[in-house]
Amino acid sequence: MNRLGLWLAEKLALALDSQERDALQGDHAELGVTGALAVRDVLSLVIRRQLQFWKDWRPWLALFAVIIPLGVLISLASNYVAVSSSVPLFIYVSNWTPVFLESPGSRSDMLRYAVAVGNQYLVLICWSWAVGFLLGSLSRRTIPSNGLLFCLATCFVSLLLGGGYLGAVYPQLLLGVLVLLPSIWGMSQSTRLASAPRFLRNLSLAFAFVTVAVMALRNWGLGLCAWGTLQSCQAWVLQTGYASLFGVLPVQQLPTLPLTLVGPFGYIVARILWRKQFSACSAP
Amino acid sequence: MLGEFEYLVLSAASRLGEEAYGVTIRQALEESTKTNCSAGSLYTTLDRLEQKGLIKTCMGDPTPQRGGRPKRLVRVTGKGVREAKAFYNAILHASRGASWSQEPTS
Repeated sequence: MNRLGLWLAEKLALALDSQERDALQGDHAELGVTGALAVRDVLSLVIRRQLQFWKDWRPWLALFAVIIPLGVLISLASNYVAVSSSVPLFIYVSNWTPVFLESPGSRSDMLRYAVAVGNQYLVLICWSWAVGFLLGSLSRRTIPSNGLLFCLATCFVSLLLGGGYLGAVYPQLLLGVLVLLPSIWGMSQSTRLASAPRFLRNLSLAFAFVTVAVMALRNWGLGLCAWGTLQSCQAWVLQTGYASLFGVLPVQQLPTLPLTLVGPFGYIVARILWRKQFSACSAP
Repeated sequence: MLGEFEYLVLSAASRLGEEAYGVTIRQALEESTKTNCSAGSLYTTLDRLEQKGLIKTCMGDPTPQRGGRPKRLVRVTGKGVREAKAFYNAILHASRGASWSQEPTS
C-alpha cells in the first residue's frame, strides 16, 4: 500500500516543473514520508499550481473551444459507433457457430462488418488523438486539469446517453479505449514537441487542427440528433431541417479514414524533421 | 503588505539562515504554529515571495540523503527583511491595547 502510494505520488508529481518535482521528492525522501502523505502533499501542490495557471486565458480557450464542444461531440460519436456496431456484434456473439466461418457468404459478411467497424474504431482513435494533441498544444501547463475536464465531459455525456444492445459496458469500454486513451496519448505527445522549433510545433498543430475541424464539421449532425432527442423532438426532422438550412447533407456520420490520419501524420512529419534538424546540428 | 503566512515563512527562513529549504522551513512553521503545513501552501508561497523579490531561491547540490535530489535553498533579501520588519511593527502597533497584548513595561 505504501509502495503504491509512493508510486502514485511520483506519477502525480509529473504534473510539476522538473525543479519543483525534484525539490519536493527530495523533501519526501529526507523525511521518509509514507505513501499516503506523499500523495496528499503532491496533490496539494499540483492542485494549487493548476489553479494558478487558470488565471491565464489559454486554459479558458481550451475549455470553451475544445473541451466542452468537442468532448460532447466525440462522446456522441463514440456512442454512435457503439450503438451501430453493437447490433451485428450482439448477433455474432450470441449466435456464434463455426458455420459463420465455413460458409463463404457469411464469411464475406463477417469480413465486411469487421472492416467497417475497424474503420470506425480507427477513425475515432485518430480523431481523439488529434483532439488531445490540440488540447495539449493550446495550454501545455494545464494538461492535467484540462485532461481531467475532458474525461469528465465525455464520460458525463456517455453516461447520459446510455448503451446500445450490449448494455452500458460496451459504450463505456469503447469510450475508454477509443477516445480517452488516445486523447491522453495525444496530450502527452504534444508535450514531447514542447521544445521543438516553433515552425514544427505550428506545423503539427495545424495538421491536428485540420483533423479536428473537419471531423467536427462532418459529424455535427450527431449533436443535433442528440439535442433533438433530449428535447423530445423528432430528432430526424430537426437534424434534417437544420442541416438543410446550412446546405449540408442531412445525415452526418463518421467520415473516411484519410481525413483523420492527417493529424497523426503531421505529428510524425514534425518529429522526423526535428530529428533530422537535431542530428544535423549535433554532427561535427 | 505581507500576508500572515508569508510573514511566517520569511521569519522561518531568516531564522534558519543557510539551512533554509523546504523541509526545515516546513518543520519550523509546524513547530511555531502547531498546525500542519502542506507542500502546496509552502511552495506556492515561496514562489510568490520570490516574485515580490522578498526571497531568492536556488537549487543546491543533490545529496544521497535526499535520494540524489537537490534542495531548494531559500535566502531572504534586503527587501524581504524590510517588509518583514514593517509587518512586525504593524502587528505590534495594531496589538497595542488589545486584551491579549502585554503593555511594554516603562
